[in-house]
Amino acid sequence: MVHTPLTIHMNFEPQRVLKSVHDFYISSGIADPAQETVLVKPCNIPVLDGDRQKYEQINLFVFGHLVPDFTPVIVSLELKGSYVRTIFELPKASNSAYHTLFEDLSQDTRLDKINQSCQARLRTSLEPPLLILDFPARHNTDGSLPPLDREELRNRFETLSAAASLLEGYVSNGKRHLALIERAAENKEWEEAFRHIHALKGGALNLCATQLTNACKDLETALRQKDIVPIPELFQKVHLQFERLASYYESNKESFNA
Amino acid sequence: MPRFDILYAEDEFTNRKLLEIQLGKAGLSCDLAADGLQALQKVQDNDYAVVILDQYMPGMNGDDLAREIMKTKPELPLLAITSDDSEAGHLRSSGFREVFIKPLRGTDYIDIIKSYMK
Repeated sequence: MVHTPLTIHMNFEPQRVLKSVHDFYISSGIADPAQETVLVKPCNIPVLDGDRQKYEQINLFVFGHLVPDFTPVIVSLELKGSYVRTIFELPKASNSAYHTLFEDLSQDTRLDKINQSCQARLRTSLEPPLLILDFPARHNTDGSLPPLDREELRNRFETLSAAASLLEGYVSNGKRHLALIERAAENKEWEEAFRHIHALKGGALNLCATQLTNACKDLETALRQKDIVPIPELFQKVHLQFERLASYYESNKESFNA
Repeated sequence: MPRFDILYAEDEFTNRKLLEIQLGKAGLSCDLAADGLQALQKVQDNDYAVVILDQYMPGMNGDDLAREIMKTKPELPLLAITSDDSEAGHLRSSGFREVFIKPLRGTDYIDIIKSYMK
């Protein structure tokens, strides 16, 4: 089997991008249309912009078991505002990068089964995946991901000190939003709770707080759909991630303002 | 009373300040509103070149606000910002000429905003 880099140029909205990429794999005979597509949380990966490599935050999609031998296919998409102008290549990667990818993915409980399956197969003698992505992990020394991506933050704001003032305000206002969400949920005012989690999510997005963003997204979805049962647990996850962010910023405030 | 190029309505502090900073860097002056009703009042009282609205706000959501504004100022360019890309079609049908999806990156969106300036 010949492994060739794949370059895709896209210029339309995110939902159609996902469908188009999925259709590509179906039409090329790689994907089984019966398999479920799983959306993963955003990650930071190197992408090619012309001849220049830079790091971008993207939504990483894992398409279940698409290849007949159950080797997963991993596709990365870069979404820029409402204009999806994405040019990316998928080079072959070393097995260590592949393992790193699934260490990241294992933090998402929805992908536990896929991850376990992939890990098991990597321990046996398998051919490498047809298309895989090479990117370095951005972990803390204890293996966990930091609540903020400082490098992305620096890229967005030019300096960390510029981001620091917004972080300060976000942490302060975030506590208010959390209290209002909790109160609204107790009073079954789902639309009010939705509005506040939506605001919290927007700020987290702009401040490169990926895990908090994802936790907010999950709660936002449940509130939008009025799926009441998981709301308390989802709220706790948001609270946890927010506290992680606030603590991280407090502990590192001097380095932000240096 | 100072004249602002742009009105930006957004209830979340961080998002408000971020866009204000980014627009300021591009030489654009930005007035701010923290809810839909405040934004509506400001539009009625001032002459902005462009109005940018978040979708979900206290008082009045962005789509309803857009429809109200268009009753009296149909020529005023209205741009939407949302973190929910599934809303894009609905927002366009509400009268927004552009829909930006958060997080806003790079400077393309600034160029688009400037293209609507008189």
